Amino acid sequence: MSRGTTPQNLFFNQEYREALAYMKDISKSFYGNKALNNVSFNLRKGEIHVILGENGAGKTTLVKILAGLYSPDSGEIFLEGKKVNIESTRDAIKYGIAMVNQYPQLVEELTVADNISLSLNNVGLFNQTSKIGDKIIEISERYGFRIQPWKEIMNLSFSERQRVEIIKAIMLDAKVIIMDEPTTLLTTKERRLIYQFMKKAKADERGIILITHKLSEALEIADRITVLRKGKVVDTVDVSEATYEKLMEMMFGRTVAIHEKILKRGLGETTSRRVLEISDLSVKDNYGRLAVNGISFHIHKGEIYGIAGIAGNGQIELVEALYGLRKPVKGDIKIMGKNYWEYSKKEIKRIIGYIPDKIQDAVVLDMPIYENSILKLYDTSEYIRNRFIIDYDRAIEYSSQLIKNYYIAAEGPDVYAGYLSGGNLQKLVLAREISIDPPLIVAVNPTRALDHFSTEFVYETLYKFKETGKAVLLISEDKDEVLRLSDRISVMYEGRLIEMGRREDVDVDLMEEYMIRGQNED
Amino acid sequence: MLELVARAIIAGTPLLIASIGEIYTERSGVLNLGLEGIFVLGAATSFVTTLYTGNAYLGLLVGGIFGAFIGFLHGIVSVSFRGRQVVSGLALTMFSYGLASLIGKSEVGKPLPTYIYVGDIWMELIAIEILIAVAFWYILFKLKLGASIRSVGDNPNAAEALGVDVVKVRILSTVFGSFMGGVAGAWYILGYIQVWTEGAGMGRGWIALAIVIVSAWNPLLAPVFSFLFGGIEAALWRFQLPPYNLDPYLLGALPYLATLVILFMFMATPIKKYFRPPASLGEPFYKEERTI
Amino acid sequence: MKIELSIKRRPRELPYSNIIVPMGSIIISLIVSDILLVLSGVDPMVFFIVLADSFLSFSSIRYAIPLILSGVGLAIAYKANVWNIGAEGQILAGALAASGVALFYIPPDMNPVTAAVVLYVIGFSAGAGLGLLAGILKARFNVNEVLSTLMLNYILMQIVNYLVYGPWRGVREYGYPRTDIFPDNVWLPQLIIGDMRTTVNIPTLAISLIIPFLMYFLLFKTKWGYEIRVVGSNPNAAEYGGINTGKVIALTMIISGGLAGIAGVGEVLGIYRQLIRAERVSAGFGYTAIIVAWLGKLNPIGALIAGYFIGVLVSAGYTLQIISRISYGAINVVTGILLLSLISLDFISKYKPIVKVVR
Repeated sequence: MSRGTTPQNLFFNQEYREALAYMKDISKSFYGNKALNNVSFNLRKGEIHVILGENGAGKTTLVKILAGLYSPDSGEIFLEGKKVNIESTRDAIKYGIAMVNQYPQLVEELTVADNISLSLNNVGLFNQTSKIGDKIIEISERYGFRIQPWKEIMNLSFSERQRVEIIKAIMLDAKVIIMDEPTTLLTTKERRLIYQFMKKAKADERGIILITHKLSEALEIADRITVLRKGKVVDTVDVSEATYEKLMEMMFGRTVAIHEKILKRGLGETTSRRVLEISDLSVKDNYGRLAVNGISFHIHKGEIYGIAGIAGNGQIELVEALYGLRKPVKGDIKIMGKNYWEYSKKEIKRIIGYIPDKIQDAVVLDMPIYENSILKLYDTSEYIRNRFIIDYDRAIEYSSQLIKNYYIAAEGPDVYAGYLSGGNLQKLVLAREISIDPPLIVAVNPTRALDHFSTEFVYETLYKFKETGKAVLLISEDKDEVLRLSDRISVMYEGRLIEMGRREDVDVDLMEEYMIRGQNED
Repeated sequence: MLELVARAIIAGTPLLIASIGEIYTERSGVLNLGLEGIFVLGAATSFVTTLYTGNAYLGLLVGGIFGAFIGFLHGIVSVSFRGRQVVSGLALTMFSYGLASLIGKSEVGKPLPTYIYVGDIWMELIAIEILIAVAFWYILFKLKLGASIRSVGDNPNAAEALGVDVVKVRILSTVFGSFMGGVAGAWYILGYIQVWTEGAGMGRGWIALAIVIVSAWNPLLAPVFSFLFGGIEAALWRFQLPPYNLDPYLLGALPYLATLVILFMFMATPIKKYFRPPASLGEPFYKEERTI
Repeated sequence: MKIELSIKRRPRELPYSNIIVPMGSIIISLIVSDILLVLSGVDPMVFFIVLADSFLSFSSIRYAIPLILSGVGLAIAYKANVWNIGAEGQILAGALAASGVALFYIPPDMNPVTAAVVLYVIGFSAGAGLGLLAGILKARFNVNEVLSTLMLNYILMQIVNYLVYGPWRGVREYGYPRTDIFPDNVWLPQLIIGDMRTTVNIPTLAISLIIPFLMYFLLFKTKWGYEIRVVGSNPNAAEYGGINTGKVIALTMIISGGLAGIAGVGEVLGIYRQLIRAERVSAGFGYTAIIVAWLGKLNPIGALIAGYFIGVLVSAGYTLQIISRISYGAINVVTGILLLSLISLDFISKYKPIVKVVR
């Protein structure tokens, strides 16, 4: 709407140009996929502006452009009416733009003071990083953060890291503060602290951009709300005009029934046959610390077992031990009634379908789809002729099937995996793992990079899979995902498992509490 | 015995200079296999410079500048162009070998008008070198400069998000390390063997690269291993003479065998746990690419 | 006004980059090298005339043989992301083992064909064994293979020199550092055109022409090749798929070491017919073969073509050394620039530079 030249639009342009930050007609694509398509956005002084949208709508891409992490393919950025060029985070910091990342972007081996000093222009290259220690302690105390400046990031928990990012933003004294889903993984109390911080910043005439997919949060804190869908702006509305239903419709369009997202499936029929049985399992992480601490659970046939938890509480170490990538320090794993060590390494890979957290670890980006589709089967009789020659004709045929059946957006089986979008890679791995037809699927955050429709498709696929009498171990940061799919649920916190019981018995508030602090707050 | 220690220090000095430089380069995430060629090129260019100007310190500087130039090429190719660091480094080693040969060929064996004599002050030399190692340690681990270098070697994506110019820091660290490598080669000629033949200095760069690993990328440990290797080299000399009369070729294999054994000892024992390389060493940095 | 340069990954690699990139880098390296030669006082045309001459000479083929064999092996190793820099030592290991057996164990009345087969196998095993040593150090203990193979190069070099100066020095060689001439039943026959005897030995030439195709088949059609390529492209995915990475590392080190070993056998049995100083046996072929592997884009058949071209370059380098005061070592300038331009052009074929003018 800012492209015309009618007097009306000129007036709008004027207002936009005087905004604290005005992003005009921004487009950005990755590997030829449009992530942002002519998006315009403006932020006023002293407002909290929520960007709302589902996964893959382009929210993070948009703010990363403002923060200098990506450069746009086209479009312009104005700060207080002046056109600026933000080519890097340095430029952004120079213009007073700070970002608090959803997944804290900090260097593990460095201390808190080291990390923060890297962002501060008033710390010279030949200054000791420890000189900002006092200031960190002061801010940390003021906000009740309890952060020690000389601690290395690798020894901090996830929420502590997030607090370091917030301290960083405060010390930068930025005019524009971008917060990328900062409250998803916080307790109610911590969330209130963040809201307080945002309101105070707002009173100081700063502008705050808050990214979220939570409608309630948007309605509670926002002054204005911009909704993005599939890389385009649906509209920007004042919070006074916005209702839950209206925002829902803006986010998903008319084609999706509004309540589908909350709808739950019926519980599965569980039989007594256990597919997986884990007892007293302990696993160490890369730094030699105990990441999984004596946990036990089992999964029946025809059951989805959900483990909810914030990243970094030992989930990755657990599944890697299960899949044979990491050696447990103690404990037993039984699969289909047989001891773990009775299976060869190769057999384990075939009886467990595994969708890892980092999907790039499950595909070879510079190989075509057809070679990727046989990653686990390349040396089985199905694909081997004359004892050692791979039957590529068959692999091509097989992968064409996968592309069709799982709606993978690719021109054909000879497209390189590296040219697929994140969501399509995710679907490719899911397709491959399910079509091996293993008794157990382990899926870690299986829908993180996916849009609404693909998410639904993945849920559908996992659900159907379980209904054929198979077992699924679902590990996710998204408690709604766990609640929606799982038959039984537990929460993982600091290497331990807290059983929540069957889904219909789960107290959702308590579950959230456990995810965040491992215990009841009161 | 004391003479042996003095010789060990003198022979170890170029290794120390080169390995401290390479520690900075590798801490920024760049593996520079061009160091070997840089050492040889630094030796040749400093020799020719000193021959024509009669100023050994100018020789050191010119050796360093040629090294820095090669390091700059490595930075462009492997950091900006994201070429494989191993390949780029090897290519530059070959290129530098060739360049050294072109530059020095016509001057082979000519006597140097002047050189850097440290035979009398080797005790002071130890003190200075240890002080230098401590200073470089301090910069790397206490100052913001060092934090910038380590951040791009550990997690360049986070470093970029924090506002560090990853490409610039990596290239400058490589240029600095290569400058040191060139100075090391120059010192090898001017302060140690005092004569240039084709191929002088070959193999030293590799040993410096090994010293970086066993020093755990820490400048404080570099002197220990540099002097150890210097000692081996000095001892070789001694063992060729009576009463030992050992075969020079078999002795010549010794530094390399020692390198291999020490590398193995560090990697195959629990010590290894404390010797983690920079997490992103050898990995190119892609700013614009989306991590899913 | 400011000009800003940024880069963006192309949705597809540039068309024909498999041909354009190697060709482009050859042209760049020749031009830059010629400039450097002119600066060193060589007539600018001399370089190109010598080069053109070398294209049709048998000495180019003679140099191409060890380069192809080692280069194809290295291509396999690099495809698995195993940085074997030890072809030089592995050539020496092959030459050393074959020489020892030829001198002391092969009976003079053994059938020449049998002898050749035995010695090729010995040479292959020696090279493969040396490679495997570095492979095990990497797979089991994570010892950096670049450094270990390099160290082994120097160690082998010193051992060979120790032997030819010491215990193995020939009694009929007037004190020169070399062994006695081997008995003639182990000589590999050399190619004779009309009445001109060339230094090209027929059996090794034949092997170096067959091996690239065999290795191509191994790499792109068999399950072992699949494993090699997966390990090389994404070790995490290999682990994920249940591929035994250690086994793949060992396999590629055996192949690359063994092929270099065969090259070493060809050098001593086909050309010198005695073991000579290490610097002359391997003559840097092991390092030059790294370029062959990359110029061939890590494709064994590509390495065959690249090996011939680099053979021409090496041959030209020796001729240049004779007709000008340039030392042979200067050829490294050409090969170094060639490799550098290869990886730089490769970047341009995958990424698009975007020039922005900012006001």
